[in-house]
Amino acid sequence: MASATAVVDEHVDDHGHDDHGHAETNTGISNNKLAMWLFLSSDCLLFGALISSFLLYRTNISDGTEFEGPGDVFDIPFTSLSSFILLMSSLTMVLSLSAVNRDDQRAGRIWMLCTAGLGMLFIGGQVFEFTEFAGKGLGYTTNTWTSAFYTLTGFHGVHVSVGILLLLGTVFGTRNSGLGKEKSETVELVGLYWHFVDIVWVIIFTVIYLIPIG
Amino acid sequence: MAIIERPLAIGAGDEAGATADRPLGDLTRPKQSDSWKDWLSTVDHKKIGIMYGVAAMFFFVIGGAEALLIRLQLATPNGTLLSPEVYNQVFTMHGVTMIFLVIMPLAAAFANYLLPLQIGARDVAFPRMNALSFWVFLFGGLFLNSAWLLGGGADGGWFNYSPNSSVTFSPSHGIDFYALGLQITGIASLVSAINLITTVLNMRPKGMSMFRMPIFTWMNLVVQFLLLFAVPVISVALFELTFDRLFGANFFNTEKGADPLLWQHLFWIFGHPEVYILILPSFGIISEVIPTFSRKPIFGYSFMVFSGIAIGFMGWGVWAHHMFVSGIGPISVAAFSLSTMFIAVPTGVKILNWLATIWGGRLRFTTAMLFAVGVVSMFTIGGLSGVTHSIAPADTQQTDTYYIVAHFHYVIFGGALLGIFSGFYFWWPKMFGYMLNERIGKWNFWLQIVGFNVTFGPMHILGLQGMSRRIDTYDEDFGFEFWNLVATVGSFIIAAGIAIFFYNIAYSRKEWKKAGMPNPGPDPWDARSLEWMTASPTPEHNFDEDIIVESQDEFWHRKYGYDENNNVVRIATAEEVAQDGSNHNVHLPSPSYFPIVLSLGLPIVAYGLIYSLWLCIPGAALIIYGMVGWIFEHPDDPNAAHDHHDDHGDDDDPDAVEAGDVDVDEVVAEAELVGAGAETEADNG
Amino acid sequence: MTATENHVDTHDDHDHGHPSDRSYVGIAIALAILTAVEIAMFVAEKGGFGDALVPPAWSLKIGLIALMIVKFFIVGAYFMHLKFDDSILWKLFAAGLVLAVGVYWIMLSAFEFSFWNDGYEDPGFWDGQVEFEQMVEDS
Ligand code: HEM
Ligand SMILES: [Cu+2]
Repeated sequence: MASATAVVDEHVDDHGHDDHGHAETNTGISNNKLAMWLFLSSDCLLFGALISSFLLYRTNISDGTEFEGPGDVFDIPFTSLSSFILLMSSLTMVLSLSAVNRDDQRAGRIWMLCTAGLGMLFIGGQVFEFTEFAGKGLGYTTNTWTSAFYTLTGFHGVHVSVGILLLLGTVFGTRNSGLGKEKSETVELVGLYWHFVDIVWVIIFTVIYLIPIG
Repeated sequence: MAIIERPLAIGAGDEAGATADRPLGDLTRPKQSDSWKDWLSTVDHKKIGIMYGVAAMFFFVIGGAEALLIRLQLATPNGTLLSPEVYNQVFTMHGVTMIFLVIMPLAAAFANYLLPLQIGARDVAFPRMNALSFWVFLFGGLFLNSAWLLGGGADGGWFNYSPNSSVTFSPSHGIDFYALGLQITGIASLVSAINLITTVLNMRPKGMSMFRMPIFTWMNLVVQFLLLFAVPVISVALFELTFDRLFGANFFNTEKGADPLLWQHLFWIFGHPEVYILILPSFGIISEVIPTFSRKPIFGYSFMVFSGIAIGFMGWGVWAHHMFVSGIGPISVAAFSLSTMFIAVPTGVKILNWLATIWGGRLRFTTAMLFAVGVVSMFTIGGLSGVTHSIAPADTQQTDTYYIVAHFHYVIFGGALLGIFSGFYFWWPKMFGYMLNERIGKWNFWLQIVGFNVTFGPMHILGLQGMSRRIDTYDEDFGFEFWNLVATVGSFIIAAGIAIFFYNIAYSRKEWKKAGMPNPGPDPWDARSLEWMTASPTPEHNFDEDIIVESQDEFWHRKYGYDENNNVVRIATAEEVAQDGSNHNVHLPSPSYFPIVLSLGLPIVAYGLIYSLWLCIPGAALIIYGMVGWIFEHPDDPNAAHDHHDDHGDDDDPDAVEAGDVDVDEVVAEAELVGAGAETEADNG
Repeated sequence: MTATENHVDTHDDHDHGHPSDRSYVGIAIALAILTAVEIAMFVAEKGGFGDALVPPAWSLKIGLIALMIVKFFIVGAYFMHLKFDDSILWKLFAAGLVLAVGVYWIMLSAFEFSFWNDGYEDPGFWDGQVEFEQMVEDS
């Protein structure tokens, strides 16, 4: 309830209140965190639509190309590696949050930078994959398969890139103010977003790359 | 983003104000000055609600003019007013405007204005995000309509089926404006859904449990969840369409083996929840109006709530009833036919509950009540014709005829729009501090409801006679002349009714000024919920002190009690119970220009996608500037946190303290989050 | 969420047993192993472990999807703290997830898409469609 009151005049002195991670609310969850989860929940339907569009066209790669099936173009060892990289970035992300919770600013920043770095590696891998594909004659407009594939993985890539910006923003935007314990919710929310992007990739990797057709 | 937005200077990096003796906000923040600039930077949920209303009424006039053009064209056989091409654009833009730029934002207007008030909160969870939603919606709507000046509007119908929507069949940019414009307004809906859900779940005062919330709040909560989940579906469909049209993708390119039904599925997975997004706010409105003017509590409160939730759930399982003739196969048709019949059940529950509320009540037929009764009766007709097309073989005959047009106008005009008018008459004094004239209001009502039935009733007949919808004209011997002429006459009666509504606003305001601006008091209707427990018009800070809620219809129970014979007796006047709005020590979220700046970038990017990618650069720059400014508007630096009032008064709010507000002075002011939310939402689009 | 420790809060059920860094690493190793198993299954299907060890396609599909779900829930429960936070978050997220799986599943079924066959085939909506299309073509 207090949040209702909070908009009142109780102007807050942050000093001495550092022990509170969030406002008191009806659910006990801060508004920010609730909002982030609502957003992620909504994003499930976004990725769901993109994935299903791809599934609908997943056998159409042969249209206008020399390939018989997606198996001919996917480089599974390479994609496995980049999937692994993204998965491990989730680890560095939780380690960062855990460090911030301990008020260990330095470790918090370093782990967050690692996370961003791994994210960039992943994006780099995606750029490489796209150029490889384009080299094999699979352009965005080639057939329904390519359109759906690039759109799905592209949307995921955009999500990862936004995550990288959030991470870097948090690391560098708090240079003056510090990344103490009171920032733990910020880090937590960035982390939630990041892990979500990761689990979306878990699905994409299995459903798009690994599961054979036929 | 913070619950509290501290009073701050507008504009980033205004370091000068950050001293202890000069509370930033009080210097630079616009006061209640009635200056138009206030409105550009406001984050007050009430002002935002009003702006939603004004903008939607502006689009309503545009959409209404389009409707009259359609009716003029069809008034006589072989009409020549509009060419077939223009006719296609006019009916498409009419539908798109009315659904996305009129009914949805009008519902948003009421939701924004009333949700915080009805739960007893001082604002929404994220006030700046709220402003962002409004501006994004407004610019999206203007962008969509700017197509008229740039080569013609969309011409594929509001459901815009592929492959008809491809460049081959619709080479103008109209459909690009449709796709990008709706994408933008979708962002607005999504942001606002997250905001309002958080508000309702998190910001209720002590004692306001979920099952004490007014039905209006409940219905809007359901609507916001529907938006939360439906918007991303249409977003993807619109992205795919945009990519097809602008960048040569093949999602709907049948030449490359695409399946055009993909669009239909995605559109209607969004589209059917969407129709409940349109109707449920009105259900909420009349669930407030009917009890008030029947002087009875709503009959079956929990049935009302649960049927609303049930409609929300079931609305996801019926979409393919729009696709009975598209060849989805007999199993799908049978399944969706059944599920559609079932969804009429919770809808019927609601109708019975309203009737039971009216039953035996002491009725006062104010204009608001008339409109509410209009909703119950007209919506019932529309619901019934809906059930007739849930029967798939019957629908095979009805689909794409004027019978469908009759159905959805009975539910959307007769249901959603009349409900919104009921809300206008009901809450007008609360919003603006004067009453709308009741005598003129009755003219407004009767013209509107008669005109409505004269216009859309005959369409049932025309449809069953076989007149196709979306056809730009018909020949003399088809037997369609008479009812078409009747319908056209009816549409002008509606127009007269609406004109009288606008006249009523001007007239009532003038009379009110002449009479020395008498205040209607906090509670002109003897109503039941918390928004009436504060002064009219609502003071900027909503409530002087927190309300501790002990029952459903809290305000009513503070006015009425029971005598020894268990008869209801008045125990207090509204003035005694209500707060007078005199507490001036309440600090409110500070205004900000960044929501409007950020929103302005979106249509620029959209123009860029259509005309020249170079234009995307300034658009994106504006968006980024808006985000960065938004983030740094808030001092992140704990050393800068001296700008608070030291005199923050526990004594201003004794009740709240008593109520156990241990941590009222809690702030989560993580500036980055603003960026996080904004970016991720924008990118989700 | 350590931040809430000394916080007056009616929902005090959400702050017990935060995993330590060590257990986070353990969880990550488990995820890595699961990923390795997935890739091994893929390789096996391609005959990488010899023709005798090629699993039937259906078992592979079930296995891969099961592993995917397990990974998904491990990340959600531990890294995203759903296991430790108030259950309302889990319910909200599940709402979106279940809805997404449900509606898109039904949509793909309406297309007669299936994981078990060669993917999308023209479903041949009704008897005689082929003849009809031929007729249209001829005319
Ligand atoms: C009792 C509940 C309802 C049932 C059973 C029902 C059923 C249907 C069915 C089966 C159709 C498809 C007809 C066709 O195209 O062949 C339809 C169309 C439509 N319904 Fe309803 N409906 C109901 C309530 C509503 C409500 C509450 C709204 C909006 C507020 C609504 C708005 C529409 C619209 C806009 C269309 C036409 C879409 C288009 O083709 O452009 N319906 N309805
Ligand atoms: Cu429907």
